[in-house]
Amino acid sequence: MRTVNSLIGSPIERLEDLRFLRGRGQYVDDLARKDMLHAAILRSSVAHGRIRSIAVAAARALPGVHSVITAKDIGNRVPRVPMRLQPLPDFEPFGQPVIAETKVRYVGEAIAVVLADTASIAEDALGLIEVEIEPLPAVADRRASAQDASLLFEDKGTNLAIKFRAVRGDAAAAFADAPYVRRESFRTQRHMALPLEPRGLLAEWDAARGRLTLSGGAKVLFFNRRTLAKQMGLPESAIEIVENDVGGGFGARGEFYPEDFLIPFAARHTGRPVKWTEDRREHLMCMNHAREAECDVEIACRRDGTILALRGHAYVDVGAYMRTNGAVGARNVAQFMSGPYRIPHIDIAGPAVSRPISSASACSTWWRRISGSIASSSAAAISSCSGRCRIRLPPSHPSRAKTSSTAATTAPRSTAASTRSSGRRSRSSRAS
Amino acid sequence: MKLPPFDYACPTTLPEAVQLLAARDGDAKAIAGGQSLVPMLAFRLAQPTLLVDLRKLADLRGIKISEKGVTLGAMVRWRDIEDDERLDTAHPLLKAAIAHVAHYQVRNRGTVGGSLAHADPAAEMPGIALTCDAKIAVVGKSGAHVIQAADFFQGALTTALTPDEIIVEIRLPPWPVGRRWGFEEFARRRGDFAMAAAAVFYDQDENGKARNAHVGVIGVADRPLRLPAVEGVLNGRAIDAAIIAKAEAAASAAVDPQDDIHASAAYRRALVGTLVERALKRAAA
Amino acid sequence: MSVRFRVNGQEVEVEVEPRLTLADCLRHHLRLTGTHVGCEHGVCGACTVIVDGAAVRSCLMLAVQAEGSEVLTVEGLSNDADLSPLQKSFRKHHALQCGFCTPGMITTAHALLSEEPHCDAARVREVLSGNLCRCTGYISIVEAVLDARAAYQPKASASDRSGDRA
Repeated sequence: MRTVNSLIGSPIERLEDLRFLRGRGQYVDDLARKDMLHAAILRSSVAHGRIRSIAVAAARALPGVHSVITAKDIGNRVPRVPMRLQPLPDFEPFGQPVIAETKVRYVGEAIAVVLADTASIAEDALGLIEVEIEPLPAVADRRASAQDASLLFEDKGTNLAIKFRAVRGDAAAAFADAPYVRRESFRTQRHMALPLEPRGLLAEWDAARGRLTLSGGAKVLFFNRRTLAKQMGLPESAIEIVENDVGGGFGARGEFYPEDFLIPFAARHTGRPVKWTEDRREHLMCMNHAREAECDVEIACRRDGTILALRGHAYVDVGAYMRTNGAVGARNVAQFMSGPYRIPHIDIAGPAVSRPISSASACSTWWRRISGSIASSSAAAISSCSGRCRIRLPPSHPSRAKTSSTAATTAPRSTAASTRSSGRRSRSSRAS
Repeated sequence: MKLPPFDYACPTTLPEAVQLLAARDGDAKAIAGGQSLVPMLAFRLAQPTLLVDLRKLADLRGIKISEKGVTLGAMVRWRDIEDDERLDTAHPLLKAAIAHVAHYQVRNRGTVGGSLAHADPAAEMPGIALTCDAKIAVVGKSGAHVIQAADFFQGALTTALTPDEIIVEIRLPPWPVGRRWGFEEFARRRGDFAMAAAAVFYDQDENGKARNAHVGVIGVADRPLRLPAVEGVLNGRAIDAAIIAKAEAAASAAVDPQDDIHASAAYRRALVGTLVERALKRAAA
Repeated sequence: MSVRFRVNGQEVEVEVEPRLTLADCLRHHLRLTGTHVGCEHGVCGACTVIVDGAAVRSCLMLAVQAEGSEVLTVEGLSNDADLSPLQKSFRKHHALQCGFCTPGMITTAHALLSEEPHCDAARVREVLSGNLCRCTGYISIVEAVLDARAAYQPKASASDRSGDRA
């Protein structure tokens, strides 16, 4: 063991283990407050539909139920889930109201919030709420989404949120001259972060001081506080967001979800502390999914295996709404498609399409890995072809392709902003 | 996923338990280990108004082994079967099958009776009961009677039990020395529900030919199945590679599984053939 | 309904609805929040406690079913002064990250080692297969449990297990 420096280079046992091993961690569901109410959320069981009516009288009448909140209790304009990463104006029409207003656009979307003396009673009350939803055709895959026959956002007139294009050099010319060209399709399925601790929040409103304390935050407390302050009409200094012990984040926990407004709102609305603990079924429906992607790509190379060019389409499903991570997934697939390889000519179009699944915006390291593996697979596909040439894959160099991605237009240089935001994301995604 | 509200009773005698179930006219459910029932309550797939806890009922926890066979009390846990060394010889097929049930913690609570009454199409105990021609002893408001395993499983999560009836024990026929047997299960991960499983046994005549072949499968229908077509391939023959191949084909042909989220029908059909083949190879080795 | 049982050596009496799970009773009525709830349907193992000597999923047990039982939770396997050998082994092998699965791992491992102090890696893996961890990848947990076997060997004194000794 090195003695020069007591910390760096030394194996240090973790301090938090002392409480975790003893069962003395403080995860948000471990917290309790006097006079606390428990929240349960009524969620859509329909993927796409128009809300015709919501009847809450029977739920309100159940003994132990304090109140039931729907969109109309929230006031003039129901806040939207904010866009934290690359909030382009193109995305505004695709934003999610924190509670369903006229439509539901994914199974799991919040329709009403019940506040009750116990979590059990709150859940009982959900069964007493009658919601009439006129079902609309669900958009089941990217081809259906692209047809725009069933629109999630009628006033936008399309399900296509944005199309990124990552360009470098002159791919068309490179392909025209290339000695060998290979085309492949790749697909990756939807993933989830799936931390073992489901989400939870405990909101406390101090009416005398006009102060809100919110426990259960993670990862991006300052952004969330800024957002919540605007949404609740409070100065930032009136809100404290506390991060307790967290049972896994993996990029998905901590983003601003609809509940991050609804639970604080409920606390102020009722004047009592409100606790919400997500259950596993809700979690699987509602916590951010990582997008499904389908890529049709072509690769051009010399006879000795040097890759000259990469082009194609990467279709990325961003879910029903644009939420905190916007279309970063689509952008990343386009931007990082070249993976660890030096590829001088690139032209990748990345349409980000909407469809009725819970919003997808999990950690971006997955997207780099997927892009990289597509590049590797393309290279490997070439090397596996019989006879044509003996291929040795070029040595990989772990540098990102300096491609650019801008909405709807092409630009030859990477933007400084996009590089910076990627760096921030990668740090938070590595946190467990 | 909090449980829906229900009343709770913990009777000390069987007649009391039956009376409690009967009085609710179908709205009450017995709870044994709770390892299948409580998740259903958590998902609110079942909403009984009364749970009748069987844990205080004496005489339901024994494992009796005699020349009449192996009798398992309804409250015998997987753990108890695992721990009972007599079963290594008294019923090795039972032991082998039960080794696949769920996980450590579930095995400390889950019961034989609970599994039979729950009748999950992919559960091992119903498969063993059917394959071995078990008799299920039951008590209800009209008294005690015995139901043959072949008549007991009527569909997914559906049995011949009436709402007032409680399983008391399951009687497996005696297991002769020298019997050939095999059990093969496939699940994606150890402890998951079986995607399919095959239980086979046969005895041999003085010429070494198989007789009394029993072949049962789970996971490919809404209930466990016996495969008489496969048994017909085996009976009267020496179990060699050719016969095993024929049996595999007969098994695949004998089942008609559905597509579901875990596997296509074609996959399950092929899987059943392979599992029967492997079980027979084990039996014949 | 009134239920009486023993938790970590102490007699307790609680007034609960029949539908309250043992997990929720321990966490919210007895304020023993070390037992965690990860799935509420018996698949993740975070809620594992030891009832009458056997590791069970407390989310699948009703509190009323614990009447007359001995319940041991992660809190009962610890003392404030020192970590138990099993806990020390977890720390040494970095067998936890977020800590959410940890109480379930500790109780399950304790139940296993108490009965099978000579278990091998395959047995440890089999037993822990009912406990999910999203952080560690399990290898460090298995190593920690194997390394703790020494403290459960019959020749060691009983006090070694509870961590009374440094």
